[in-house]
Amino acid sequence: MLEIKGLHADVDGKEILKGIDLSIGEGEVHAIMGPNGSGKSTLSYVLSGRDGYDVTAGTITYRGRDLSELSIEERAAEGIFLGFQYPVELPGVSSTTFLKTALNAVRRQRGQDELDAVQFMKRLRVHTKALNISDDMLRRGVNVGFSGGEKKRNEILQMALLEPHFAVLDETDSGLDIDALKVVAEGVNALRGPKRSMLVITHYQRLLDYIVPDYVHVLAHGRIARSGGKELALELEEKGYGAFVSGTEAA
Amino acid sequence: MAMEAYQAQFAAHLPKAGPAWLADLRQAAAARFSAAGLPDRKVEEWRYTNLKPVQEQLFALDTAPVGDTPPALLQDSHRLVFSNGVLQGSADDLPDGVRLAGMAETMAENPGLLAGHMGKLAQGQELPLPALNQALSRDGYVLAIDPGISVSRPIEILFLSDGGASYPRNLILAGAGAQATVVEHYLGLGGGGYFINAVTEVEAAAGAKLQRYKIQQDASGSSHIATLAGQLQDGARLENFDLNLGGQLVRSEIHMALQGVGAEAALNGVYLLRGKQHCDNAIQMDHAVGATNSQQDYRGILDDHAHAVFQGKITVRPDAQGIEGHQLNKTLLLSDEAEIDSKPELQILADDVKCSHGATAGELDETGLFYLRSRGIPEDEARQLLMTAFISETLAKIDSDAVRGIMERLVGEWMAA
Ligand SMILES: Nc1ncnc2c1ncn2[C@@H]1O[C@H](COP(=O)(O)OP(=O)(O)O)[C@@H](O)[C@H]1O
Ligand SMILES: [Mg+2]
Repeated sequence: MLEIKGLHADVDGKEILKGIDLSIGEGEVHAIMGPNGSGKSTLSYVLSGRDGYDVTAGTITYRGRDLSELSIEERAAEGIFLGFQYPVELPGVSSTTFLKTALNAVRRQRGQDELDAVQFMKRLRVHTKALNISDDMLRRGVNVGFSGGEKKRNEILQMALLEPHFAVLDETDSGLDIDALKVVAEGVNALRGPKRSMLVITHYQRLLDYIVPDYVHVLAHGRIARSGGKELALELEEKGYGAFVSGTEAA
Repeated sequence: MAMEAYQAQFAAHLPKAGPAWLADLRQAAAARFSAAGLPDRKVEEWRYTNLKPVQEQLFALDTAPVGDTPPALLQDSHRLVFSNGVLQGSADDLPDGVRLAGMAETMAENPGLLAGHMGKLAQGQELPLPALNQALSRDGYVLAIDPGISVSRPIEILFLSDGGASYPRNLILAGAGAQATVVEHYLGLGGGGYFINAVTEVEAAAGAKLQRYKIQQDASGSSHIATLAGQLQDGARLENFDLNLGGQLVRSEIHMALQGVGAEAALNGVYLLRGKQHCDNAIQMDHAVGATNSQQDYRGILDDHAHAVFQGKITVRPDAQGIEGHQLNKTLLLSDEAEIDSKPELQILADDVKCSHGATAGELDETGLFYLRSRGIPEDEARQLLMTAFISETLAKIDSDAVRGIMERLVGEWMAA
């Protein structure tokens, strides 16, 4: 489904990713763990095509296509979704308008009919109920005045609506208390399926108690230092990153 | 342009009939303009705006009317149409106690209505362009509303232009407690090397409530200069909104006096410019007495080599205690060559006041753009969403739903162009 080979990437001329190899199969959930500054978010931005994140070597193949040929919005339409570590506030853009515009833009590009207001609201309701998202949140500007937990639930809502094939969730757990974490994890788990792969980025093992991954990778200094099964996360929790990553402070 | 050319126009257009006070008024205005001339950039209020396009050319005064009149913006309005400065037809179905008619026609039929009002607010040494207007104006609209009358249908005034010079002279007299909504729509046809110099004077008696909306869509080569001078008595309220889309050289000047306790003015606007358009909003807000409120919110989006100016001055007189005056100017710059000069100014001579002013200029939020695109929204559409969001708060302040809808549509069309 996704094949990353020898990936090097620069941010503002500085090399951050220094040779990443990663293969994610259909329906698999992979976790990437690593200390702050190791390049986790950089990888997520490279996958979504953000300007300023330049691939200098290597390839990313997604469902048989070279990803570098696709613009940011085309990647979204092809089913790549990024749950942001820091969801962006858009004052003056109402949440409902944003969600409807996004869903219809993606549907248009996927050759599906656009939804009218009634059809859209019906679909939206199903997800907002499950994710405990209030009407007040939907009336506000996108992420404006949202708490940390509300912002992360809003990311999951977008993922649920856009029905991606491949979701990258960047520190979806950061800043959440345990109850909020459970709501978010339930939302993610509800979307797991044989046709949907995920890359769950986290700093802490805690999230992986709720979203249990098939594989765990440790990222350090822009390279994958170690890969293993879900038990690797527990080992990391016990020993800290220092045991795996030379020259890196323990988390 | 040499002053002699203007003086020749003054002489040719002195009124041949009508009351003596009008002839006096016009002669005095002609003399004032002759003495002052067109302001140059050494004058502080004109520091950022160069009147060269108007200076270099003398525009003819008698241009034939434009052929076809486009459809009205508003449904179910009382409408007047001016073509190259001269009224065509008349308004119908006016309620009792309301006069909506041409200035020339009113001057002929009922000059007493205008005496003491025309030229009362828009004059003075520092206003040479309103003086030029006074000296050369042939027509304009008069809206006079008797006390207590509320005009339920909106009033739409179209100023249609395609050549020459026009000097619309407009007067709104709202009696105590009167209410009305007026849209002034300036629309240009063709490429338009024409000149409009308009003046609207507004007198609102105690408790009157006026909404005055201006939509400026003059032709791309035109020069548009407009002055709004208003005076609000006790408890009167004026909501003014300026949407500037057209013109090459645009200056919109407002002189607002909050003359009575409880008077309130909301002066808001949006300017959307591209190419080499220049638009200068210059506002003077005078809190003459205490317990008055004013608010200004002007936002704009500039592309290409466009240049905008915002000069807003709030004056609070020594005895004007307990007033509130706020001013905000925000500009989005889409190109490195676009430019905004924003000059907020507070002159506060009372001590118990709540005043604020702020000005920002910046580029489109790249992070926001990435967020939208990462959700599948194409770049153009994402940009439009962010631009719309940028001015949405200002547009939301328009009280009339119908007018807000029209402005939103025009803004959308500008963005999609
Ligand atoms: N816009 C940027 N410009 C320059 N350096 C950056 C930028 N963004 C991130 N970096 C650097 O890239 C490295 C990796 O950052 P990031 O991918 O955010 O790490 P993580 O998500 O693992 O904490 C850090 O050293 C960080 O300082
Ligand atoms: Mg990060």
